[in-house]
Amino acid sequence: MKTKIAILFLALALMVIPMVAGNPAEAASTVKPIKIGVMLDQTSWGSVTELLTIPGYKFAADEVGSINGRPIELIFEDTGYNPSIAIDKARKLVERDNIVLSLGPGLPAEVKAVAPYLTKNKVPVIPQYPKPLASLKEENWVVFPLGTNPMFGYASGVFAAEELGAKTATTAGLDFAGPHDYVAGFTQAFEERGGKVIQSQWFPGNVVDFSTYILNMKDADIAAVVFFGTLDVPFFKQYRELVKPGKRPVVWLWDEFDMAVNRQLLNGPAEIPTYSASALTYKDPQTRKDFLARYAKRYASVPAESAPFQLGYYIASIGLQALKMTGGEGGDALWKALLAMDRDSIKGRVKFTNKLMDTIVQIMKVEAGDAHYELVPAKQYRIHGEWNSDRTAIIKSVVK
Amino acid sequence: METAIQILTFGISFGTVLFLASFAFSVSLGLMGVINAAHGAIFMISGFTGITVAVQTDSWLLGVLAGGVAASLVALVIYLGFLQLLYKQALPQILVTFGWAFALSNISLWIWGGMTRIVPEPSFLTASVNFAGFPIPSYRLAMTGIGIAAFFLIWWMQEKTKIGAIIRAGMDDAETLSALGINLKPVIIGTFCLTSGLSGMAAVAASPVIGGISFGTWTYVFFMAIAITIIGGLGSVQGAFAGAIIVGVLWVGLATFFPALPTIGMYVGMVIILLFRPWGLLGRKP
Repeated sequence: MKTKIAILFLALALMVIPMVAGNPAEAASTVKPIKIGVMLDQTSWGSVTELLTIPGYKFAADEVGSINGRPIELIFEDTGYNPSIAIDKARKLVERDNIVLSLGPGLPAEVKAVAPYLTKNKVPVIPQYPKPLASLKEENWVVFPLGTNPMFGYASGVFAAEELGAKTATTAGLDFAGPHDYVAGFTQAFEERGGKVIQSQWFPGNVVDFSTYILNMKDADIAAVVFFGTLDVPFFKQYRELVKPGKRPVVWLWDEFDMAVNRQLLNGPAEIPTYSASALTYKDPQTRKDFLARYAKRYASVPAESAPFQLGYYIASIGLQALKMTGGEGGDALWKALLAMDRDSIKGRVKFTNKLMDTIVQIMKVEAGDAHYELVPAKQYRIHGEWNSDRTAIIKSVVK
Repeated sequence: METAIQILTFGISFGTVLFLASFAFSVSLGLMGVINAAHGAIFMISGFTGITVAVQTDSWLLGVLAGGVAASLVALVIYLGFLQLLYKQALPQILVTFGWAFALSNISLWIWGGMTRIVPEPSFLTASVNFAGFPIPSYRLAMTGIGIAAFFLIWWMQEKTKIGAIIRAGMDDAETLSALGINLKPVIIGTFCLTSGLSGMAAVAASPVIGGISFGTWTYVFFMAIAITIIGGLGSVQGAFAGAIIVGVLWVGLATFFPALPTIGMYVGMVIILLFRPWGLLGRKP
């Protein structure tokens, strides 16, 4: 009996001691990694896009490797596109992992949830997407590498007026802050150029049948629509069924098109002239080619969807460049480095003014492909946003 | 006038699809006294399953049948494993079925991810037809016809067959029926699985009309089913049909004039019915 008890205690000791002592290899090394949190939706409706950005984050980290001899460590956390989960993950990343930088989260509500906590703990945030205009007014450590939602919509308004020659537009979108922002930007640009938005429709978030809204669209030169997540495909499918071919072109104010799954779901080319606004841009075609070649050389393959993966790389590279400037240190030094940054990137110049960067928007044309549709670049715009006196960003000009 | 015709046409069309999606909920509530909170999740997972089969086999029909089989099997597991052990315990039944709803929705997310799925329509139903001056997809017309046909078939089974009589008697007084020597249990199981199976087939077939099947489908199908059941009256297929048509026309009508209000309008309608006629329009007054 005593022997059995002794063996039991020995087994427990063998289990507990390593847990308490830690990893001998780590203990022997005095080099602490630079830890960067990457908050993404990996399991909810945003995962369709965000999972595809992961190779880009890893590529950026692998290219840098280490800063001042300290290896880069990315810690991926799943927010499930849920602000309350995002704040839990943020706490874990700060209190257990001691991150110096947060890449993501993506959803504006998630950023709003985590930003005050991360700011209080001196961890800057670089989100993956354009953000609501209202977020710019908050005094949080959040930078805007893709600009704001209205700036993004603005590019589509310019395109609709100048390239398509549209004089009237009808808009439609989900009834929450993001789509309202996009449409506001579109409307501003469109009406600055002599156009008129003759109708705006806002759908509740749980709409399942778009046919009524589509049939109620007024007879305008163009329809500007914005959806997120999983609703763009059903909407566009019903739009093609209910609108005559060639009539009322559609401009998507935010691109969810460039994914193989979307192409497969829509089963065939679009007969209605269709354009989408994409954030997934490169400085020039050679930069794109070189970037993909570098990835292929390192990993012997290229991800199936180059577009979202490019976004992950871009966001990560901004953060890593700032960390290089501080020698791997976080806190105030890192935040100042981000705000002072002025460098080149795969998308062109990275320079923040009052936390805000110009946004580069590529308008893509949807054209018939062999079995499904293809996206062809139509026009690229650089949208510059400038503060007014009460810090409501006013879109100042378009630099083409 | 054209607007009114458009509202009625699309409202009835949408309503018949809602009927197919929700009548199983109404019947299980009336027959078993169970609020099957997993109804929407069964609908969703069977939709995913059937659409996957349809895409892999390039057969719309096989996909629809697969959706029905999947729904029946899931319903069978839920009933045999859980619901039959909680006879006449309303709150535990609700909690268990809610648990199942969350489990099934996360299983769906794990297997199929966050993207919306839509079944490819048969090639002869991809065109739109002109009706009273506006286009209507022929697939939508076909689904409307199927929904109406399904209503009459189910109504006939309920009203004109022996099984239907047993089901209706079981709704009224299960104990007396048992005392007469009629074993209600296989009828309950069969009805629960069959109605779920029909709902599963509807999930696949109706996916092009209801915005596809996605991770969030289970919540709106469940809450739509509650609204339809309350408005129409529980326990009868006529009530489910009437409720669905009313909700469909109300939804389309509100979407036409007040685009942001259809959901609110549906629940306001439900509240009005609960206040003034809580047994529903075609339900039986207690």
